[in-house]
Amino acid sequence: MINRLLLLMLTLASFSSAGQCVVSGHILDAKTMVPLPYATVIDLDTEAQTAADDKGFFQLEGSCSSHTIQVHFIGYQSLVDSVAFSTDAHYDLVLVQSTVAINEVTISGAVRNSILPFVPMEKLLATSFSSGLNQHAAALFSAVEGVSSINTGTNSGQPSIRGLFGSRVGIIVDGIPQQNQQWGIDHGLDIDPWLIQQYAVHKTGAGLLFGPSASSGAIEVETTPNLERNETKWSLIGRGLSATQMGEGALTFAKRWKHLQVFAVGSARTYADYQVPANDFTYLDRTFELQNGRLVNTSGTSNGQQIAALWEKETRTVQINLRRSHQAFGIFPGIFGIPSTDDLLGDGDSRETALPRMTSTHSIASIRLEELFAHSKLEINAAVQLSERAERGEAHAHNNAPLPASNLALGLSLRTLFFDVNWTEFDLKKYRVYLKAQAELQNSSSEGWEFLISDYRGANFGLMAGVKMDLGEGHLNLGVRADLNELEVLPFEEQIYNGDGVAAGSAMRSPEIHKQFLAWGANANYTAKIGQTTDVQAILARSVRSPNAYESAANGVHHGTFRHEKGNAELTPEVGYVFDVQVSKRKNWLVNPFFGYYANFIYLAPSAQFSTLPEAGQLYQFMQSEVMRYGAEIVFEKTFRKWDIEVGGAYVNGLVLDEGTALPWTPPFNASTEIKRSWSFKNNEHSLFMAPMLEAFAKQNQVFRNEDPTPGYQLLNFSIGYVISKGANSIEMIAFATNLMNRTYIDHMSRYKILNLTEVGRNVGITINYKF
Amino acid sequence: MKKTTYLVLAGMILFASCKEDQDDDDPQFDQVSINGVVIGVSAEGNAGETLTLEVSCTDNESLNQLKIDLHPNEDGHSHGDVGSSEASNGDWEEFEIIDLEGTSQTVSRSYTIPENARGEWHLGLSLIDERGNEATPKFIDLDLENSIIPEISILDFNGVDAATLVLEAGVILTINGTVADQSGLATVAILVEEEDGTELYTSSYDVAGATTFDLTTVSFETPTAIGETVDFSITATDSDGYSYTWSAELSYL
Repeated sequence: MINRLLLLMLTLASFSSAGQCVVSGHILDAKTMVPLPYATVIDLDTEAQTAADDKGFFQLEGSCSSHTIQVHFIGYQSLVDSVAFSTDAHYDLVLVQSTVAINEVTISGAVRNSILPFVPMEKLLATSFSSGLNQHAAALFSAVEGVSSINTGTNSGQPSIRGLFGSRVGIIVDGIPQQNQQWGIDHGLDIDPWLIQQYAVHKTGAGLLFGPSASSGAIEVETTPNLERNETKWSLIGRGLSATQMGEGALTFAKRWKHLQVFAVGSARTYADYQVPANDFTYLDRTFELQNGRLVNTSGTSNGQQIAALWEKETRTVQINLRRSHQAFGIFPGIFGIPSTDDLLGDGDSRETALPRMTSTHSIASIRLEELFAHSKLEINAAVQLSERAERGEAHAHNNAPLPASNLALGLSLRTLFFDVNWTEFDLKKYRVYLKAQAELQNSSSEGWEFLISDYRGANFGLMAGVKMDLGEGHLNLGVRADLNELEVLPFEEQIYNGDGVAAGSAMRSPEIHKQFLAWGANANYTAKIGQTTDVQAILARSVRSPNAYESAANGVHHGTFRHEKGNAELTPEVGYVFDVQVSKRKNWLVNPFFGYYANFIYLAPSAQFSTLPEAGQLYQFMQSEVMRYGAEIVFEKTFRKWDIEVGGAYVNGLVLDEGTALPWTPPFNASTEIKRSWSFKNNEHSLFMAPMLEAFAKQNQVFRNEDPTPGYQLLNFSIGYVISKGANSIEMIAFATNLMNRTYIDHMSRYKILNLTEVGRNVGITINYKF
Repeated sequence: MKKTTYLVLAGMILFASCKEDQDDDDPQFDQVSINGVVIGVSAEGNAGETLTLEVSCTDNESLNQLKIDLHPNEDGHSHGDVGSSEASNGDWEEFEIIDLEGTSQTVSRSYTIPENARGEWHLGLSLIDERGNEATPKFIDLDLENSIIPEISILDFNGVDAATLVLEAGVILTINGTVADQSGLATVAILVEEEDGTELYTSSYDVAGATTFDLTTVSFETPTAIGETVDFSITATDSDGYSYTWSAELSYL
């Protein structure tokens, strides 16, 4: 009887403790990654509280479910986030200094992305956009070594990871891959930079999680701010830049109730014609003079809006995002075809936009559902996206065709449906299992009197499974993914006219294409700690990417790159093997070499033929070759007598083995040094910082056929800021200048290099950010 | 370790790639001649005559295509060193893509220069080999003389260059210039019209038998214009029926 009673008591005890989990981790400084000793950690759900030890280590016990954790430390912004308590949960939580790290929005990403060890994050960065050194979101990301921005216009750019971009680099915003302007390989991002709360860069193996469109890397963007309960935040931002005479304003609002949080952003900007320190430019070997160094008709406006709602209660999270961004700007006559000298005179109004001009709108509605179970987590993401682009110009016709009635040269519309389901199983002693299913459907249509790509439909279905194994000294993550990709391009026949302008038949401009590919990718990732301070991470990834619609079926003059680009229906899925090793020591230094081999790399190359289209030069066509890529990034950070010093460099080289040449558009070696000093006074309510920065770019002689080398150059940038904080209110005033020495240079990655146009000269600006 | 790190960083900053580009693989223009004369960056021609072009080119592997692009310099653009000194009259254009093969080939083409062509033309030659390597394009200034059509020379209007002239209604406009034709003129006509083609002023002068006509003898009161600019043109017709039109866009207050 006694034994039975003991057995019953033990059974009850075991039941009562079965739902208990322990979460542990470290509290770290966001900038230096130095542990913050004795920080306070509170479980807001249970009001349990603990303090980190002298090494920043903390431990909390609670039910095996999602808990809202709040972390406090004097002189730092409080952090509130949702944490999944599980048997082996370990989180590194990073705090941002509230007095000196001006507007350095960071980081709670270790929480949301804790399932991501299958795809190593090279760096979770928080960089101040308001410091002004970056003109757009793509430039913001280039703060990470190995990431550069390809300027695709005066106010837009596209991020490149280790020299690869476009359909190889996924832009994942709030869990949703952005599908926008996919008709070319190098169109800019339509992401309002003021939305970005934090971002993470994945350089290797991202395709495993995010799909083929992230085969060479991904940039994850989070737009939801972290708020404490009952906290309300407003932010009113104004910014001006001299080179484009740009003025912009943004208003953000965020409020957190007990379970509900809303976040809204609205922004607008206007800019004048782009100014360059150049007197002429060359289009298809014709040289034209520039009037007053201005690229006429490049002025424009843009605006963005987002409203998001986050509802969290107990184990359930629901997040809904509605976002729209819109751009309207003039197109430099040299981009829309061979200009005439008269076209370049302009009308004297640097803000008026005439034909040719363009509008671009991206709208997205997404929803995220998350449910935490005792030992697992279910996450579902769904989104619908609409991307529209309209290029308008003076109606004209070639080859005896009648004059069009409309000025719509090219109208493109892309609709995308996205859906994924993610399942993470925590409660396995030495394993964590991750399963994912993903589907994406696309439909693109085209109109107008120019032709670039035919109407098409695409579908991609992916299944992924991964396991994280605790090996004692380190972790081994293994993952495998299979994708079924289907592409259907409708045929397009072009009307032919006789000498009298009468229709006399048709010619096939774009044939019907129907392709289906089944491909698989895999990652093996090992992370370990050497000694107390050195982390090593090695990953071997097999990436795979099916040729997209543009690579398969484009056939027209792409105004963004000033050339006739033609797809290749014979392309097969691109398969690459990348080995990547990252060694870092407490974030004081980081070395990250990589090597990649691609059996059939897809790239756009000059063909052996001239285009027969009007106002086009050599025909460029997509092709595949055996390619080897290698390079490294290095970062060194040190605080020296209160000066924060960061030195970084990135080198990448790509070789087309069949040809013995470099890959086209390979970024040059570049290095940067930033020195930052901050002062606080008046009880830390006032602070001042100054940060000079030197960027050096080597000359780039590693070029593809007919690609021009570019000389090296150095840029000196400088920013200085003053912040007044009182309670929850603060005002930031930041003045900045890029290219302070007014150097004349050509960016090797800029499309304007084809026009022999130099980049912007000295650019001075100011940002005022009032938070209340 | 720290010193090593600093050295590596310093080395990276100073590092610059030294790899040579691929110019050696590009095809080459060996020789370009017009009417049997080897030319550099400029040549001359006469309206109504035949222009024979010969292009010799080579490649280390195999040539693939030659593009001939002859166009008038109607807007004053240039091609690097081949600049612009005068505008052109006429819309004569030749555009052809010619398939090539082998490591060496000479292409010959003959064109009849139109009778109304006068001024500066640009002859552009582009060349690619079978691997897609492109030669540095070659451009030639082609100056076309014309003794067939009348010639109109305008110096100014009321002493002001046409480009900077700003007119207002009711002003007497005097044209400083001449019209000439070796075979004899027939008529000179002046037309001022709105951008949409609405005629504002027109006059015609019978100058039969004369080989020159002094435009300073022509003056008229400027009409009222609606738009900010008007199209002004002078058309001279000679006794053989050939005509030439000089036109300009004049600004209005």
